[in-house]
Amino acid sequence: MFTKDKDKDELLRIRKIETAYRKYGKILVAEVQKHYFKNQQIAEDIVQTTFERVIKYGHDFATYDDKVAFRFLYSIMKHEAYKLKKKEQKLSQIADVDQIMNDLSLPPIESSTNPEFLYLERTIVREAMKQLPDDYASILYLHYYHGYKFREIGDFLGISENTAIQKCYYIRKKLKQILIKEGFHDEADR
Amino acid sequence: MKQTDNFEDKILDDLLTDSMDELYDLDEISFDDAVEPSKSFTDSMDAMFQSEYKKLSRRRRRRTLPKIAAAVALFFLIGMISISRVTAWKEPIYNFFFKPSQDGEKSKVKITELEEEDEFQKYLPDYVPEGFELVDSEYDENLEQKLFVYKNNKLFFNITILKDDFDQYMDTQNYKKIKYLNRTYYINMNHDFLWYYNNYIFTFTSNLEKHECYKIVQSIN
Repeated sequence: MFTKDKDKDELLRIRKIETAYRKYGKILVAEVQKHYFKNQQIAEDIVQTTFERVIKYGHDFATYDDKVAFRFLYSIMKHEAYKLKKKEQKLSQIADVDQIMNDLSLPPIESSTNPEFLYLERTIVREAMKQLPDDYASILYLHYYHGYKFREIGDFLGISENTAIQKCYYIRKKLKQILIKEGFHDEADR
Repeated sequence: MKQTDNFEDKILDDLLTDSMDELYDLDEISFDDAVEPSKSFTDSMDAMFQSEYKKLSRRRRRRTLPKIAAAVALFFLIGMISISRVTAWKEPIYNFFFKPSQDGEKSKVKITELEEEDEFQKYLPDYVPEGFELVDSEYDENLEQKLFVYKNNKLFFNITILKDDFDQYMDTQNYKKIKYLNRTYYINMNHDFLWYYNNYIFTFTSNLEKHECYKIVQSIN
C-alpha cells in the first residue's frame, strides 16, 4: 500500500476516504438523524465535518479495512454529533459520567477463581464503555483501538489535547475504583 | 505498591483495548436506513474532494518543477563545459553569441589559448644578452609547443618548449650528455641544447658563442 512516493500515498489516502464517503456517507447521515438530530441538513453538516477532519488528520486511513474505516468514521461522527447536542441542550458532563459509573449494572458474581475474575473485570469495562457518553467513548476508542496520541485525538475531535487527556484519565480512574471495589488486584497480593 | 499500581494500570489498559471491539455494535446499524442525501450536500462533498485532488496535483507540480529546472541547468552546465573544452566548437559558438563581426561573418573572433600559452611564459630566460629582444612567439596547439625567438640583428637564439609527460620523445642522437648545475643537458657540436624539466622538453638553438648559450640556458628555470 505504501510507496516511496509521498504524493502517491496521499492520493491513495484521499481516494480511500472518498470511497468510504460514497459507501458510508448516507448511513452516517441516517445514524445522526436517528440518534441526535432529525434535521437532515444538520446531520449532513456533521457528517461533512467528520470527513473534513479525517481528510485533514487521518494519515493512517489508507491502512484501514472497510470495517475499521467505518468504525473510525462512526466514532468521530458520534463525537461531533454529541458535542453539538450537548451545546444545544447545555448538558452537564461530569454528573452524567459519575452517575453512569456508579450505576453500572454488573452480572452476578459466582466463584472467584482466577479466569472468572478476569472475565468479570472484562465485563465491567465493556459495560462501562457502552454506557459512556459519546465524547468520552470516542476519545477512548481513538486512543486504545487506534493508538492515537492525545494531541492527534484533539485534532480529530476538535478539542484541546488537555481535554482529551483529562477525560481519558478520568474514566480510567473511575474504572479502577470500581474494579478495586470488586476485588481487582495483583495475583501476587493474594 | 508502585509496582502493583503499574501492573494494575497495565491490566486496565489491556482491558480497555480489549473492550473497544464491541464499543460500536455495527450489527445494529441497518444500511436500509440510508437516506438520499440532499443535492447541496453531495455537491459540497464532491467539491471538497475535488479541491483535495487539485491541491495534491499542485503540490506534485511544485515538487517536479525544481527537479526539471535543476536537470536543465545541469544539462546546460555540462554543455558549456564541453563547449569550452573543445576548441573546434568554441569559435563559432562564441562568435554566434558574443561578437558579430563588422562584415557580418561570424567566425572572425580569434580564440587565443591564453591560459595554455601562459604556462610557457614562466620559462623565458632570466638572462637575455644585451641588444636582444623577443621578436616572435608562436604556439602550436596541436603539439602543445611554444617557440620564442630572440634577435639582435643577425644574431638569434630560439627556445622551443614542448609539453610532454615523458622524456622518451627527446631525440638525443648526435648529442652529448652533460650535467650542468644539477641538471642533465644534451648538447651537440652547434651548442644546441636539449633537456627535460618539469614535464617539458626544452630545445635551445642559436648562432651565439658557447659561453652565452650556457648563460641563457642556465637562466631558464
